[in-house]
Amino acid sequence: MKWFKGLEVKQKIAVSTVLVVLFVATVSWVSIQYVVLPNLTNKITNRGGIIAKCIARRAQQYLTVDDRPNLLDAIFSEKWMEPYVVYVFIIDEVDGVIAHTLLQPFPQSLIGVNLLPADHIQQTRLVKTSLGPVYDTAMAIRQESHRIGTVRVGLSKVLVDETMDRLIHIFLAVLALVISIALVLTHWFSHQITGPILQLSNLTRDLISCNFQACAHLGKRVACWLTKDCSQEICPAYDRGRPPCWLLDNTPPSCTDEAGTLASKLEECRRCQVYSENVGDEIERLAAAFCHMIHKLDLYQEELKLTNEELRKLNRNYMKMLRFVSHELKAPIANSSMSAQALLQSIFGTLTPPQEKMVRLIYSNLSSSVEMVKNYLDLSRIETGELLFQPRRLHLASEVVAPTLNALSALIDASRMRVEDQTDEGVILEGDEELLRVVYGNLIGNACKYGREGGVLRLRAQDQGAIYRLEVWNDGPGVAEEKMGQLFQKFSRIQQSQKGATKGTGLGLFISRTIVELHGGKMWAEGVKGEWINFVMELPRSDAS
Amino acid sequence: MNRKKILIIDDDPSFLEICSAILEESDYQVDTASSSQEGLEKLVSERPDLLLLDIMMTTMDEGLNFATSMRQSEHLHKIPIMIVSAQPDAEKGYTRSVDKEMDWISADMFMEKPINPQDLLQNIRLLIG
Repeated sequence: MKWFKGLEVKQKIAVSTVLVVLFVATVSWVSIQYVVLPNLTNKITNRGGIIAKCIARRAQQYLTVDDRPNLLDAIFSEKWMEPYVVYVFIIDEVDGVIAHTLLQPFPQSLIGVNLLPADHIQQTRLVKTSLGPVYDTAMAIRQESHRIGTVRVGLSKVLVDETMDRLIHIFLAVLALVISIALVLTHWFSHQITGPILQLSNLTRDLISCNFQACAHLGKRVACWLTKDCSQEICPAYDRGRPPCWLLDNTPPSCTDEAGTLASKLEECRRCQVYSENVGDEIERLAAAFCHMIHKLDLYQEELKLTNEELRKLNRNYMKMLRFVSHELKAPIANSSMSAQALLQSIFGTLTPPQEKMVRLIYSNLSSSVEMVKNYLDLSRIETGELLFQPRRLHLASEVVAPTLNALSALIDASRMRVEDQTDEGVILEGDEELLRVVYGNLIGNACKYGREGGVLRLRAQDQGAIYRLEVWNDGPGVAEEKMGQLFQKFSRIQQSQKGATKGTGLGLFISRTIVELHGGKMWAEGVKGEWINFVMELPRSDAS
Repeated sequence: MNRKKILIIDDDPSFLEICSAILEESDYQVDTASSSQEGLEKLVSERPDLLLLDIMMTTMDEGLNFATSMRQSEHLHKIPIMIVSAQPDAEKGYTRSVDKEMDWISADMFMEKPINPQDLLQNIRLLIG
């Protein structure tokens, strides 16, 4: 049955119809062949018996008086009345022919082919004669209980068979006609069903590929002209649910219409949404409702597009403002940081311990602020799509890791962390040096801020064939496994700084992951809460390396 | 002893003030200019030993254009230039273009704001002693 399942509905209906018609035809054929035809043949052959009986009754009186002319007249009149009769003849007690209807010399062999036994009144046999195959009926002519002769009537088997053949031909012709009509009707009917279904299927496919214009060819849905003309917000005919069109049920509209315009506007009404959803059969109504749905989806999508565009615009403006503010803040913060650092470096003389403590605090806060400003500037670039990605072939260890560690040496020293740099010297990436430094800066900075004071910070980069696996590991408290994913969300602050320093922006990891993805890689975190945390990056291997 | 002269060109007066204080404290003779025009005048008249130049002043390219024309000048092209910028990763990757331009304008040093004063002094010593 697999092949049947693979057929289209239209073909299934056609195949089913043909099978049903063939089944009915076979049953009819069998019943005709084995029931109807034998019955009909019996009926016709019985007719021979009736004729023989009739003749026997009349022949009895003529035989008694030996009235040969009337005897002949009786057998001839019966022969002519029945077209199947080939011959009629009467034989006496000793099987001598008294009268017969043959226009040729009587073939004596006919007498012996169906001799009636003495105790029989009637007997019918299919016999072969010189006149062809014949259903021969012998009927005794009796006077009282004594047989005085026998009537023999022969019916032509050829004529009977011809009649049967004609009946079969008529049956076959009727059957062929019925099959043809059934197939035509099936085709029409299945087309009525599968047409709209096929259309729905195509529309669904269009819908999947977001083609909301798919229903456009079905005719533009128009607003009710009556509603338009009457300047009413809703159509007077459709104000309750979904009643049929007022034009169809002759419900007069509540507003007046110019005489003679109804007919011209009828065509417009036919394209009316309500009309199309309330006429036709269930499938047509379903198709119309489906189109309506797509039309509505199209409208919603348009609205959504506009809203999205509006939101994007707002976000862009917001990000531009963020960049402007961050940019403006950066210069004064950088200046203040430079001043504080100059004081700490005793360029303007040695500070007293309390002064130094205060200035160090100022410097620490300003450094955090610088980081924040950098993060906000990066975020605004990411959100406005202006983060410039300029990859080139670079050595990770010497061009990214070492300069970043060098730049962050003060922070690393402050956290008293032991750095284990296990970056493989052979790692050569197709990457953006500046952006990768931002990533390493964020990860190392985080390790210093949130890791264990005096703990271990391990940097690892390995060539793993198709990819490079980069890791930034520390033995800090880390975060719970279920919160690992949240780490990379914008403005997420899950980890608590161990040193009570200023809060971060919650942007560093989001920016880092965005940069890694820009490199065609992926980034995630793994670890055990309370024991360690590892930030893993997988970057595609440079073909040039 | 003849003190080394340093000219700082930056449109941020606060930076000029802080930088001057730090450099003067380290026994350098400092002059400042808040625009490239003023800077050019002082460059010609004062003939400094080093120029600290902010590349992004009123316009994005003001500093760069200044450095370019300076390098083309017969009298000024030998003065070492240290570029300072608040935006190393400047708008739209300006840093990279700056890096690229460094050879062209033959800038001798690049420092990102906020500048570590000790690093600044060390770099100046490297350039002019």
